[in-house]
Amino acid sequence: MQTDKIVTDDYKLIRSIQAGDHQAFELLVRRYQRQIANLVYLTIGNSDDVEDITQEVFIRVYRSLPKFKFDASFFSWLYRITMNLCIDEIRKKKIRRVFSLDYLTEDTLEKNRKDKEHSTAFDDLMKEEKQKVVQSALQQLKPEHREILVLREYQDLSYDEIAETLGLRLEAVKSRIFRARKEMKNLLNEYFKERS
Amino acid sequence: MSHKQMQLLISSYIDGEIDAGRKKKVLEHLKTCQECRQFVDEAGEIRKQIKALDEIELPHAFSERIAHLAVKSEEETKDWLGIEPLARNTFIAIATAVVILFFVTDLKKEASPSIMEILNSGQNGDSAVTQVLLHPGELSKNDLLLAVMTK
Repeated sequence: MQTDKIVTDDYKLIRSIQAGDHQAFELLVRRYQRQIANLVYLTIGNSDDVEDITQEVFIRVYRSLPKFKFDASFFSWLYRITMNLCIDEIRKKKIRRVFSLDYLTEDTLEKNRKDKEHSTAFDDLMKEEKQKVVQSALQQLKPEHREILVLREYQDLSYDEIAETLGLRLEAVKSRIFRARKEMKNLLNEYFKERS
Repeated sequence: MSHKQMQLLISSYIDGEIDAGRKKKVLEHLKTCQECRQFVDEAGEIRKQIKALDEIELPHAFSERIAHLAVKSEEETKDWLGIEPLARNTFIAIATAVVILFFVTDLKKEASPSIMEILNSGQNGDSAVTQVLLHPGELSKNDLLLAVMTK
């Protein structure tokens, strides 16, 4: 995902911001806002606070940028700030994992379908339910498994980029991704049964 | 190679993070192992479903708002006491040092001598009582008792 061009562009933008160019900061926000908002959403599993947390991430970035020395890639630094804020938020609100995998049972689907049949097409409802199941499973994963799966499957980071972002060795990245997939597969067991 | 080790390789294969030699091994294994083929299929479905999750829509002009807020928040920090951070930190450090110095000096300040201490130093009783009475705010119960007894 992070090509050399992006890294170079980040470098130029950050240098401009450090020299006091506010316009460059706006460009940096525009470049990463969608990625960060979705990262926050997938981490905390709650869309209500995404905007506020994303805002706080970029305000912290702005305050800390004068000290940024390019020892690591900008994305890995941005990622750490985002994760720290998400962890604070989870602790603060003690976000409960309220989702349930019962969504997949025919009874529940049928009940929801009846509730919504006048307003939502069945395909949309199925899609919505599927998303709830996947989001629920993600939220039930061990935090380190959720983190690595989001980076790999959602953010499309390579193993090298994940290793740098999480400060792990390449072998550790491989085995953690494998374990995360196994855990996710177990959580989605019912889903796969329905599917087959 | 154990089944688990093979699945670990398969996981890297799914991500395209495997060399040609190992890829060949994986493909050969997949021809004969139904369980691993299922693992590939399910991992692919997991990826597809995670990618299909709805994206968060940020409001229009989000980046402009954030840039404005960040600059404003930085300026507010700078404007605190109307001085730059370096000067502000120096001011805070000096103020803290003064307060600490005040308390340390206050703790170390010698208390006025009691009548018993003056008597013990060899002075006579009247002189001791007079000296203590010159500091009426610092009289203790014992001082008063001793002053009465001495008189």
